Amino acid sequence: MKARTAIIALLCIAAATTLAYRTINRDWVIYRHAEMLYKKKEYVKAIPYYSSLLEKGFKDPVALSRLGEMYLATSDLDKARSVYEAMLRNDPLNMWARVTIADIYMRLGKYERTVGIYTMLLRSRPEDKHLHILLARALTAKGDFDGAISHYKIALGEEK
Amino acid sequence: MKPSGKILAIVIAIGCICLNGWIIDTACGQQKAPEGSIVPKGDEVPEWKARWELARVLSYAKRYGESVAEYQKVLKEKPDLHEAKIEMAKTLFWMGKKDEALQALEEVPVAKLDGQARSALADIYISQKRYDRAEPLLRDLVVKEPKDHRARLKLAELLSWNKRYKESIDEYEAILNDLPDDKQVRRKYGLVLMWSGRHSDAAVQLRKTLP
Repeated sequence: MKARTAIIALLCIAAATTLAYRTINRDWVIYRHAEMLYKKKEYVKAIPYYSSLLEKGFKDPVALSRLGEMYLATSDLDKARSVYEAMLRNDPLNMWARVTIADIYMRLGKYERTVGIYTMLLRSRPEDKHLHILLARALTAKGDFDGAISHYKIALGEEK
Repeated sequence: MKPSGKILAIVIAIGCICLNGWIIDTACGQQKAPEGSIVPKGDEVPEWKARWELARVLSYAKRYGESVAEYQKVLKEKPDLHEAKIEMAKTLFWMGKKDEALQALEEVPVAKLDGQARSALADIYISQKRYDRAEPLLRDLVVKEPKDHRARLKLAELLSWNKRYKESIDEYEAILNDLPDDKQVRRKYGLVLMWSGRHSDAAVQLRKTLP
């Protein structure tokens, strides 16, 4: 009899904690669901979960970067741009976000901005060959062929 | 209830309690943002590709000699890169080096040639009076793009030079159907009508081109 009472009590506690967790940590439950959709590459379904979380003030850099990544994957460049701009406001030293936003500007045809970002990044990383290539591509798109040629040559180690 | 059943029920209940709360958050919860280097590894550009891009930009800047030199370096490393070979051939063609362009283009399977390369190759064959080689290339172009009037005009001319007037006239008529005000094409059409012996038709067409 005692054992049965104990089991019932434990089951009640389990049910109560499950309910409490889902109520108190509702955002995390949504977040994990969003993560599950993200991992299955179901971006269109996952985006509303992440954006609703972020709108409610859910502070998690992963959620923000996931949202940016998914907007890029679904070619929603304007929304991707605002997400990466938000990331940079939160963390201005996030180089990865800066390179990504430069790429978004490039895809949006804002070549001047792309060139500006890569030029700025190259000041602190003058040896970064890939950055030189990215800058060369942006300069090509902008129509500055001589500038582009120079940066390709730097990337190939044929010019300083 | 049997003792084993009780134990199982207790274990399940405890498991449910433990799976909630901080254990889940610790295991699946907040993660650090992706650290990523400034350029993700998968996006790194190999040297041959950077050189290929350089070759292209040099050709855009009309620095054709330098462009061809870079294409040659790329092709030394990637001899089966047909796209680069076609681009190099086009650059050679723009430089007026038709023989070298032809040699490069003939190394590429015809199926891999894009419209511009086929057109360039056809032009080279025409300049060498190798009409039998040029004709299928031009026919492919007009089949794929019926409104490619330049290709159709070249085909019409080629057919007339081969004295295949009836076929040539058909091609001219197809062009003039779309471009009735093109006096230059109409004059050429008039000449072919004349060569085919249709003098009065030729006169009508030629008169249309006069003010």
